Amino acid sequence: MKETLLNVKHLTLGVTERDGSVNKAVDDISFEVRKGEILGIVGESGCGKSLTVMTLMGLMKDDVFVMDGQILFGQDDLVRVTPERRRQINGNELSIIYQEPMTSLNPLIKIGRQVGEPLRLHRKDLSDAEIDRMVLELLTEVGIQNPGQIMKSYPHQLSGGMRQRVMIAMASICRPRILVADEPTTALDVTTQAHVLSLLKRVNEEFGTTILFISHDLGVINRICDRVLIMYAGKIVERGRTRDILNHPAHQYTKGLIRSIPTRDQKGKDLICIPGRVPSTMDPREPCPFAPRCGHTMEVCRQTFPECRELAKDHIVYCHMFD
Amino acid sequence: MDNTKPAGEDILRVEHVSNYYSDNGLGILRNRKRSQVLQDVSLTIGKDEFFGLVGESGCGKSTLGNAILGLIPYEGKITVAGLEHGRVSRKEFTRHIQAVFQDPLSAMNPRRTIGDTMKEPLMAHGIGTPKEQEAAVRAMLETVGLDASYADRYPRELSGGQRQRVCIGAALMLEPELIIADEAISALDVSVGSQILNLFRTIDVERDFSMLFISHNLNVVYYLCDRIAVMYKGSIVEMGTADAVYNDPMHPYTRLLLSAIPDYASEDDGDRALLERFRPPVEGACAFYHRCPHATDKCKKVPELRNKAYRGEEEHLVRCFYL
Amino acid sequence: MKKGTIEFRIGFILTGIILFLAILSVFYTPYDINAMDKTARQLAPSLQHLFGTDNYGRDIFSRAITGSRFTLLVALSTVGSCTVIASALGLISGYLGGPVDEIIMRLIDAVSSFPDILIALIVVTILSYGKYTIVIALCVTFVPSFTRIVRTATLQFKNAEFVRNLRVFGVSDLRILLVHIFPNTFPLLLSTIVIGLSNAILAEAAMSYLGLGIQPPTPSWGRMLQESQAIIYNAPWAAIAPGIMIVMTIMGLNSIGEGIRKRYLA
Repeated sequence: MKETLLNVKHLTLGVTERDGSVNKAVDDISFEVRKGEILGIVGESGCGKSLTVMTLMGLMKDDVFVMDGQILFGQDDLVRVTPERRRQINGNELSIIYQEPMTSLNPLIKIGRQVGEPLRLHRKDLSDAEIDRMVLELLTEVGIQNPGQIMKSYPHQLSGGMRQRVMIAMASICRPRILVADEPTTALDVTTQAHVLSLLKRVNEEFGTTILFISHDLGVINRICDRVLIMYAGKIVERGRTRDILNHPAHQYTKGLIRSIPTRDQKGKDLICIPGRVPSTMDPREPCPFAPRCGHTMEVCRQTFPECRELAKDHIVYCHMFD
Repeated sequence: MDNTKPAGEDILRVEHVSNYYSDNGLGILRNRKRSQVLQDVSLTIGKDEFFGLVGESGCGKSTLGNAILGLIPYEGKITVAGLEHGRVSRKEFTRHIQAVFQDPLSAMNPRRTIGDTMKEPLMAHGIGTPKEQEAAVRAMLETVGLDASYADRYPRELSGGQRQRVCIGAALMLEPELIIADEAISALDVSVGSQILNLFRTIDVERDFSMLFISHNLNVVYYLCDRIAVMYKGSIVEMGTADAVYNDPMHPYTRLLLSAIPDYASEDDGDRALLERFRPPVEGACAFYHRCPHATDKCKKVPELRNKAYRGEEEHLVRCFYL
Repeated sequence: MKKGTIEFRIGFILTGIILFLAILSVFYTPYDINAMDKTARQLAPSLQHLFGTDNYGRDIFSRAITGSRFTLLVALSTVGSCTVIASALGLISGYLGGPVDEIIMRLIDAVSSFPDILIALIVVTILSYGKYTIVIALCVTFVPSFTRIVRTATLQFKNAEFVRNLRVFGVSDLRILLVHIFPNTFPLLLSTIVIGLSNAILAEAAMSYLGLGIQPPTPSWGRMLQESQAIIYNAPWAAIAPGIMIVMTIMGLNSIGEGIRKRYLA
């Protein structure tokens, strides 16, 4: 077993709704991120996957707060770090790339300067010339063909795929221990997506950066992730190695999600889909949140959230069907 | 949805349509250039046919949809059910063509109830008494799989999938011959998108209408449509039956697109998609010249769209010299 | 607690007090507002005269609460007429665009390029003094900012996807504009109206202070401030009473406006 780099323990996040009530958006989840892996978090809108990583980065919106739990990262508990320590960690040991690279870049500052910014903050010993040289090198490594010219460009002069490459360069320039990628290819075209995914894989292999990859697309997850967590309505319902989960899904939700994707041989047939709707945090929750949409709901599903069951090595499911 | 529908009369005829976009956004800061979005696009959609239009962002697929709806100016000729834009009033035209857009929440007036929104087309065309309109709305809600009581709710009270059902219902109110679905399931969660796909299939069985299904997702288009056209940089590069285009793609771009789609079931890491060759663009060359792995000097001209169906059964048009 | 609740509470309490006093003054005032009393000039606030008396021995409390009636009436009619005119101009300008928009907006620019007081002066001079000439004068100075706000909201909704959808339904432009776009501008318009009311009260006070507003002996807050000026060192309470009324009203209305913005627009 590889060394554990990040350990999330019983994390519970509350959201203050518009009417002032408080709901649990993430409910008592625990998982670990292992050194050097690419861990995927999959789920539909409102499942809490983005809130979880935003909490990890300390970037929650005003209406989100930690109700309980710990996020252990080295010596630190990321839920309780001081603002100074947080500034030392973010951008240096933890960094993040987002879905929309255009809005994450300052439109008024040239690419070269922006990519070098984390180094300027965290590596005070480097001279400007050294930083520029490192930026140039890194831009070449992320597959930008004319890095010298790109460094002098502004974000709007670049295509979506280029911007995401620049973001990846910026996020990995300090060689962070963990790179969080929050739906990094969702806004991109499929051909560009393929390039960005292969780049992320290279960052993982060559720099040894651990990647936490958020996506709603199982295809993308399959292409890049070693392990995957399936989240539904604030709970982790299944986790394990990507191949195990995609080939032998155990939880009814995972099964439904996989069946919902139209494939080659389904043409002309009805898709088998999960009935009902994706719950919002406002909806009342059953102890097992999937119970209202599950075809196999039992009495016990409406009474307690299931215990963790290890089906095979590293394949864990939370479902009463395996009790 | 078999592929051997009788070739009846054409519901939609798009003949040599071009469209220009003049970029005068920021006056002095941007050079005014007239860029061509659609380049001589021609296609026809038959009665009761589902036609898929695929391409990446900015290829002009949504522009074509808007041109067909008469929302933007264009050059060329578009006829819907025998009516030509400009020859008849917008109102008359809208009886025959309706649309479903990507984001159902912004497609509805937030201050009006679902029932009000769905009644709007009937009122605009003076169909039925208020009582009959009310009844028609309730019946339509049932048709799209919602409870009739939803008529009194507001858009924000519904989930994404329910809202899209309402939009589909509203589009069906006038019993149009053609529906344009512009990325109609792209903004929805996977499990909800598949429900909407099923809904389209159910309604197709119950009613007679043709559909232009615009999407970036080739898998979904193949699943739903009878014929497919692939667009690249404003022109159609490949068009034929869904089976021909999806299972026997000929244009290098279509092949690239297909290989780039991440598949949850395959062990393949999708690196075939990276076989692109990037070369400096040449003025007046084939639109795909700068990315095409097979381009030769011959490709420095724009190829014609020609029929390459080798068995001579179904038309399979491809715009490429390589074949 | 919902967003903006605190602002709403403060706002409603403050404006509630003012409104109560204004309505009270219709039925009851402790003293006749115009009754002069030589023996009771410039008296400090006491139980007999809550806010004291002015240079003529008139009861300031009675005058201040009666004054609120005139001040509020001027403010309401100004903002009311202004809203009607500005909505029409803003909707037309925003929806039609092109030359119509250009003409309306340039006229608006022309009006707003003069100082407000100057315009008001010109209007008052042209129309000669009437009791409510000031309403017209203030209305002219308020229309530009209101029109811009309605126009901006209209532009925003004109390009909204639901408007595109309505066009696809075949709905007529007039119906789209009046039934679908206009009501959507209400939250923004409402907060503008509330803030506009407080601005109108201030403007009325300023105009009356300059002697261009309500004519004596009718009391209004601005008028009272002007009259108190001469005796400000001997009887500061004569200025403080209308001042407090103005501050309470403005704070009240502005909190309501802020509450609307927080709850419905943020």
